[in-house]
Amino acid sequence: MTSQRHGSVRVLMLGWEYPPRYVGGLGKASQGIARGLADLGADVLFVLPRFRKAQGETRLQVSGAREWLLEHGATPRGERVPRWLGVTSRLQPYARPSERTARDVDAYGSGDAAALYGSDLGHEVASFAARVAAIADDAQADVVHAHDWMTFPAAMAAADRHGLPLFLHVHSTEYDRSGDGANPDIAAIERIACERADHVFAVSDYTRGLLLARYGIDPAKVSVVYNAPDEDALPPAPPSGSEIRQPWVVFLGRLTFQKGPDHFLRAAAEVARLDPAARYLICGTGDMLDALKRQAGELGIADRVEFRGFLAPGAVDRLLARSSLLVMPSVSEPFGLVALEALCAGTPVILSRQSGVREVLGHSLQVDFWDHEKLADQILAVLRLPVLARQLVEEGQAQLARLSWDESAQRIAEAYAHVAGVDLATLAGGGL
Amino acid sequence: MSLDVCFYFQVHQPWRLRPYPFRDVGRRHDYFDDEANARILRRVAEKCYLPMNALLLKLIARHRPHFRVSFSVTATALEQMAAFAPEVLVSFRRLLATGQVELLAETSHHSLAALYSPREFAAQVRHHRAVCRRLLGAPGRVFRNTELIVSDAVASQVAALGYSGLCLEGADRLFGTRNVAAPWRYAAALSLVALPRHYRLSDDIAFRFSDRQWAAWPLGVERYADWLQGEAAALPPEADGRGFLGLFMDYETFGEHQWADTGIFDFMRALPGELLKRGGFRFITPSQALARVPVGAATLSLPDPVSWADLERDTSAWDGNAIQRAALAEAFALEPFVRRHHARHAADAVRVVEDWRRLLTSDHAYYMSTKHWADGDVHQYFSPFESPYDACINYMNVLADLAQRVGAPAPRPA
Repeated sequence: MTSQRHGSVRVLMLGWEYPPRYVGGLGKASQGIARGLADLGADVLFVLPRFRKAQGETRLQVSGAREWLLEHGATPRGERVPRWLGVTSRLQPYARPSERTARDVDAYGSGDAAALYGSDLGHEVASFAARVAAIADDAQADVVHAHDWMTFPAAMAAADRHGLPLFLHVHSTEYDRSGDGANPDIAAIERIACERADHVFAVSDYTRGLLLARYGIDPAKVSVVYNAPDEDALPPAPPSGSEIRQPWVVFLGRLTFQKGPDHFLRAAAEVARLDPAARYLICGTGDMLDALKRQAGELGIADRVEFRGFLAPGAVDRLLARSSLLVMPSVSEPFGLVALEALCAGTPVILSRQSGVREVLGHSLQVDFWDHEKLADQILAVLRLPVLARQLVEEGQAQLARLSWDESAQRIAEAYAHVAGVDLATLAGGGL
Repeated sequence: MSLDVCFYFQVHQPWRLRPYPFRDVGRRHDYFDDEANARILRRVAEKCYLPMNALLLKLIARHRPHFRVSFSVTATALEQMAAFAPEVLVSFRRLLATGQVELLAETSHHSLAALYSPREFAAQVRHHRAVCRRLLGAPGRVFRNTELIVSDAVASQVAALGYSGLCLEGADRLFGTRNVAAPWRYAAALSLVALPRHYRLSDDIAFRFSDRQWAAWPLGVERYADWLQGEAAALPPEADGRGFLGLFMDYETFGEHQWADTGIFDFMRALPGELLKRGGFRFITPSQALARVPVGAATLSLPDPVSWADLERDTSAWDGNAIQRAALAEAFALEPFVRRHHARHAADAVRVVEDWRRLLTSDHAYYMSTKHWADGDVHQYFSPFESPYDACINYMNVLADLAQRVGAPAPRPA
């Protein structure tokens, strides 16, 4: 299995988004993992369906599939596209086109917030698979590593064609995104791909549990690789004295069922009866926007809730740094990078117990998303007890400091070596 | 070479709080989880207090007059026994009636008052005496402070209240190479005898007994008696051939922390006979230990508090983090308001004082400890809360209501 063709291990990594074009946590996490592996000495070719211009870093090349093929004078051969991918139904990677998030401003600029690759996602997934299979002919990869279901057909096509070990990275499952209203086509792709994979990385034990329970995946081949804070982010801000912070309670994320903004409002209504100063900021957009505005009215708190729409990354940091608290009441959250961003801004967080990030942030307030009464009590306490807020941030930041993409990449490299006999350390000549 | 073996068992139950949301502040003053407190007390009574009391009664009769033990029982435990399992009080009274059992003095509410308010400390010690007298019998001349927390300042307070002995953790950082198998005197209060706990031999029973990873598992009385004989043989020359062995532990060790099926009851059933058979051992009460300490005994100085908790053996289990320190400070800050309320003979004065004191019980601060929180350790085992932060929120909510009742400004720790 071990390749002697190169001086170092070559990873063909498949993704759907990559900074600066990204919709959610996936793009940032993909970048962190790719960079971490490159730092460990792997040569990473990161391929997306389309990418405006190729990015090169040491050992890491990021490219669109079409752009790569053009550059290398190859043409896609689409004959190996799995039959069940012939679906042209309007699949969505995360959300419906209207669901613009805090982050899509960079990706689209124009404000056309359809998913990154248009509305015919099934076609995009299939043609990506065909192109990647062609790329794999020339890429001389040692392993294929793919991020989330949109890239899994491509990864399987490439791995099958060249007998390469297949590693899948699950950042989110269809059941997180849609609950019991899961799209059966997407769920099938996730299940079949995970069954086929040599090894699966889950971003949390929570997600690993979902894969085991929903798809019956063999527990022995699913391991947890946690996400880490953004390395480009500024060093953690000290927890500020409450006096310069506003009594703002922030929700930040897509306004969808998965993120639980309706639970946020219900808790806010409880808080509002006891703390008249608090204001509730909802940042992000999505298909629940109108319903949420109605709900705020029905709960009698319309005058205290602000719908801020989507915010550019810089604006997010500035807002968090002036706020008292971030609430992440997700119904199902595979990880929850937004919690790490808040802590970096010196802002305490309340985490849904139905989230992955709580596994690495024991020093946090945690609550079941449906327990509005307890959530309200936690919000009230953070607002009225600065000593509590400060300790949550200090201890949380200390836990954060122990997470890094290098550490996560190390876990991945161990799995490459253990599962596929591909050893980064040996081939890279002491890259560790 | 002979050894005086002094067993002292700590009996304590806190009044656990019910989930108390902030919206109850100013509306409801029922803070305590009667259902949980009753359930836990009855469970511990069945698994520990009743069977162990019965066993000790038998052992005292069998080895009369050689076997003796001592207890310290908090008022919060006594009141809960009276309310939820009065037969436990009866069995304790039966033990005391043998004359072979001694009671120690302590604070009524298992509080940290010695560290925060000498006035409240003295009041709780008086209150403990009164409750003991009413429900059990009078404590003797030896004192044990909450969680064996002792410093020079604590020793001075205890001596000033007229006590002659004070139990102490035989911590390495205090004793070092000094002999822990002997009574000492406190430099801060020369009239006061220090009775050190031999933590290794105590914890062999209290913690390690059921540990299957432990090299000595399963621990039989023969091997344990060998260790005690080894201890006697190793006494330094200045001990003059006689040592003091403080075996101090939570009473819940028997049947609750170490379940009956670990063999802990069988172990205790056999131990007194084994030691008496070998000779060179006497069982004594703490008061008896005082008698043989010369006035010029060597002294111990404790500028910082020592306790029997955690590896640190300090007070960090209760005041190690910011939320704990804030909660304790706010709770004790209510003292003048509670006293004024009481002095006014308000209709709810007695209730208010009792509620406040129950909030001073150290367990509430212990639940807020974040030491090793990520590793989920012993603190969480005892905590009714999902996290130290939830414990803090609940406690501060209750405190906010109590502050309102006594007309104090709402606690707003900075």
